[in-house]
Amino acid sequence: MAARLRRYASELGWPIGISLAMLGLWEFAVRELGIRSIILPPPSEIAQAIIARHDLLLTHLWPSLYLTVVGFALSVVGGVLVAVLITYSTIMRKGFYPVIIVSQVIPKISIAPLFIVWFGTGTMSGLLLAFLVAFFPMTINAAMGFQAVDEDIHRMARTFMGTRWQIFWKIRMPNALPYIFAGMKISITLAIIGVIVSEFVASQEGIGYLIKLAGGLLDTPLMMAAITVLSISGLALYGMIAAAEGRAVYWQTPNDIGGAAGG
Amino acid sequence: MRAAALSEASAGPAERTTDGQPSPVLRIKTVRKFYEDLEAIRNVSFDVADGEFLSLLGPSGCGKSTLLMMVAGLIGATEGEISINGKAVSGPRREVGVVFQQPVLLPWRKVLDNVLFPIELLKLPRAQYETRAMDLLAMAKIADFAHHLPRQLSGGMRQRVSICRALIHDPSILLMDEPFSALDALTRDEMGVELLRIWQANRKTVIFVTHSIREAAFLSDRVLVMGRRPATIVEEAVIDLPRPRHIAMTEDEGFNRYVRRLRKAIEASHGS
Repeated sequence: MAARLRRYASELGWPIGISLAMLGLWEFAVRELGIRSIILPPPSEIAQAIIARHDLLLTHLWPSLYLTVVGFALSVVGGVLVAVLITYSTIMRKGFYPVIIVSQVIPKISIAPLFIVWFGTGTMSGLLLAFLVAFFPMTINAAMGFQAVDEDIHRMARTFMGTRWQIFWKIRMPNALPYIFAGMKISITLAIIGVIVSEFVASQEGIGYLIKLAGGLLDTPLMMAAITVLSISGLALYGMIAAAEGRAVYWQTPNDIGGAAGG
Repeated sequence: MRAAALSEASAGPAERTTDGQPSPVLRIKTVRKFYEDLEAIRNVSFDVADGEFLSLLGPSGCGKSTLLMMVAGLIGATEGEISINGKAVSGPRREVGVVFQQPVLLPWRKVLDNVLFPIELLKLPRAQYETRAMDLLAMAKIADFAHHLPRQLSGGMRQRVSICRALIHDPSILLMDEPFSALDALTRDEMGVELLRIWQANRKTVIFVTHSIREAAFLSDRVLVMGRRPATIVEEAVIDLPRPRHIAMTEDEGFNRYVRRLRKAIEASHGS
């Protein structure tokens, strides 16, 4: 345990040190060069803005987080279900799967205004955009995981008279878990982007709306405060998934997990 | 002696062949296998007696693994018939256990749970087989690792687990498809000795596929040499060496006579 903590400390020490150094440099440069805070507020002023206006920030953060989490959750459920269909249905695999892969090239964010036209400026547009952008990597990763079962393992299960159902639950599902988590880590990040963009386009609340509003008011410290709060939230969501992954995919070492994420 | 059993004597279940031998556990009768136009196996016939350790010896890619997978019920024969205890094989069967070239363990399962995997698939009561699993692991000298994950084990240990898994549901026939070929030479010799020890304690019928002449001669009661493309049986050698066998026996002239004979048969089949 102590050894593990020490390893974490040494791994985290460098990036934290570098980040603090950059913040220090930023603070120093802004002050020394006399840059106005409307252009670039120093970190200390951003911190002050976060503390002073935490009510406003939280009011706008919650709806964004809510949409992100719900959109993400839907994308996980939908992505895994579609991946199962892709695995077991020839039509889905041969017809639908290539379309999904090719559609990855389309910048799906660009259809945000279209969603506003279709679903209005309410929460529905944000939710659907979050779902849409998160759904594709989820599906592709899960489908890859379900299908990446070693042929030998499949053969082994068949010699012991395993049924399709057993092979799915006892082999394909656990086999897909690392891939599903890799997909989730991509999808949560994209879900946040989806929500923020829809709030940029048209919304009366949310952290994306607040960022745009603060920009319009030339309240740069508030804008930076909102961006900071959003980033920390995103990091927390990602961290939660990574922590769950470590527990669920207990049979892989951290290095293996990194490899799966690349796949 | 067994050549008589190779002839087309009628044999139903529990019947005895004309020479008074017990009917074979496994009977392979004029089996052919085509992959489209390519003939992989031609007219292979042989019987395996209960408790016999039989090796199929041949060069890589000669079709001996294909034959084994046909016995396992994973591949169908184009012509001919394979029967186990008098019943034709049409798919995987309960009385068969298979050990593959790779251990093919499930990485997310502990060793004990890997051994019990067939029990789950066969929907047998797991609790009743846990003791048996531990006994098998103890026999394979890996009981201490029952609660470890496969990645914490060496290659040889993983293959021991896979042998335990193949035996867990007490099959009457154990099929082994080059099970030690991925191991280093020292581990390989050791595993051979271990396998014989386990076999002697359980007395399963074993069909062991290998491309190692020495391994075949050391382990088997009888060795069938398969020639290449299309595969047929080109030589049959009954290995009349005392059991239990020890690695030291591989230095003996008696052993090496068998090795030379088998090698000659393989070389002859290459030339043709």
